[in-house]
Amino acid sequence: MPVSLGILNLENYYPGLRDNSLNMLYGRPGSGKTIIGLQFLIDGALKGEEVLYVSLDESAYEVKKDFENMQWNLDIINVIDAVPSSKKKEIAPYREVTQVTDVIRMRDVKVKGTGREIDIFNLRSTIKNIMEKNKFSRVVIDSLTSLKLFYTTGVDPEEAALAFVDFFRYIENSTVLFIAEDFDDLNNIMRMMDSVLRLDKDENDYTLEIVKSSYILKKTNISLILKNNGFAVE
Amino acid sequence: MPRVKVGIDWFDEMVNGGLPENKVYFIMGDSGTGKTLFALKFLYEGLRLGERCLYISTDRPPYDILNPITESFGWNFLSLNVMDAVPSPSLYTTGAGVRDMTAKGEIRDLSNVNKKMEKGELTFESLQLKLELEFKERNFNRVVMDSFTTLKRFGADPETRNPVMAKFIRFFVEKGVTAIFTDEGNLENVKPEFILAGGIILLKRTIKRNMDERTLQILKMRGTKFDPEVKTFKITEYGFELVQRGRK
Repeated sequence: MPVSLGILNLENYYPGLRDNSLNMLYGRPGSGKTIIGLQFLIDGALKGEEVLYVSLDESAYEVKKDFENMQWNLDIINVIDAVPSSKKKEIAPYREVTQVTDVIRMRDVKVKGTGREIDIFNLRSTIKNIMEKNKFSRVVIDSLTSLKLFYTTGVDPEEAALAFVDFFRYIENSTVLFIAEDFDDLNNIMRMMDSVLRLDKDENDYTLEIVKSSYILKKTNISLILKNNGFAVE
Repeated sequence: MPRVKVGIDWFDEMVNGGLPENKVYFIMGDSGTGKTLFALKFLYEGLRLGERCLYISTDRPPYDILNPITESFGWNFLSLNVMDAVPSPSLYTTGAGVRDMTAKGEIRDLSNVNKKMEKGELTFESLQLKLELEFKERNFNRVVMDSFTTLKRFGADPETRNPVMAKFIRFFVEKGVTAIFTDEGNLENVKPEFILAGGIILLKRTIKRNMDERTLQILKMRGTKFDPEVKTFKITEYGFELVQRGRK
């Protein structure tokens, strides 16, 4: 059974993501990637699934505030707030296998951030610890680019990002969506993906392009409209 | 979400009543497109509303920038706090590295520019440290960092630049500030800081039929609906004036 992205009527053109797969959604700044990521999670949560949002671009409370006008129930989404505090000024590689933070419901997200220093390695171990205790059928990493740029001090960012993605291959029964910016070289990471989607915005027009997919599709450029409950196909 | 007005009516309308508060915005454009003027309009509006505003300048001493603008547009900046973060030019010639360059990083009231200035480096970390000290004394509602491009150029070693920059941007968010950073360039090269931006505004200037045409477009804006269309504007004695166009 394909896993729906939660975009109304999209299944007329694109069935959804493969169950238990790695997927990427990329696009330029402001194209609406986070909206699709959250829609995908809400769709699962409304079907009674446990879903996980890993927040790396903005603190979870900011994400919550940004979408308070949308007709969504974000509260039921589990979240890892991975945005570090600005306070610690020493930036040193930090490899201990410790849990950065526990997963909480979006409902319980408070204004304060984690305040802890994290990097790509302890985030991976945090997710590993969490995934051993809980099963999440859908996971969104927002964004992989942020992780690569801001959380990889002292290591090669490209290799660290590949290792991070590779780790998800070994997590069973999760459909993972990695969000990425359309400006760094994504080719190596795209090769690891079961499907790749690209979101494009030109003034008021949104287009979802199916860049890579194992389905036979009639159409690979799908126009989307943005409503206050998310994206839909006319 | 509470809004922070820029003070340009047509722009505030484009973002549904003002910029969503407590975010860092980037105003992009090549040299001469009006980035500094836009950012100063935002500070002037804050002062008019009785808010605490800070202007950090890295390219020229703040009053060299502010005085001509007061003259041309009549905006009064007397209650503005300014930080002169211009690296000292005499030190450019010694061939010293980034870390040896000094910046004058003390906040002064514009009316008291003669106060002695401390020496310091212009780096993300040193500037953040100075700001942390200042924020212990008083909070600011609005901050302008002009220009972020210069800070980025001198502010960090290439390998550590992105994480240090991320912390610098987080600092303003944690302090509850609404900030505008001016950043040179266009959208051909998307930059790492765009990920952390609450919004991105692009200014362009082209010569068409011997006429100067200026445009503004919002490329990204978190937390609000916004008008993504390209707007044409003029800079007049009243500031930013929208050029009305017939409907498509």
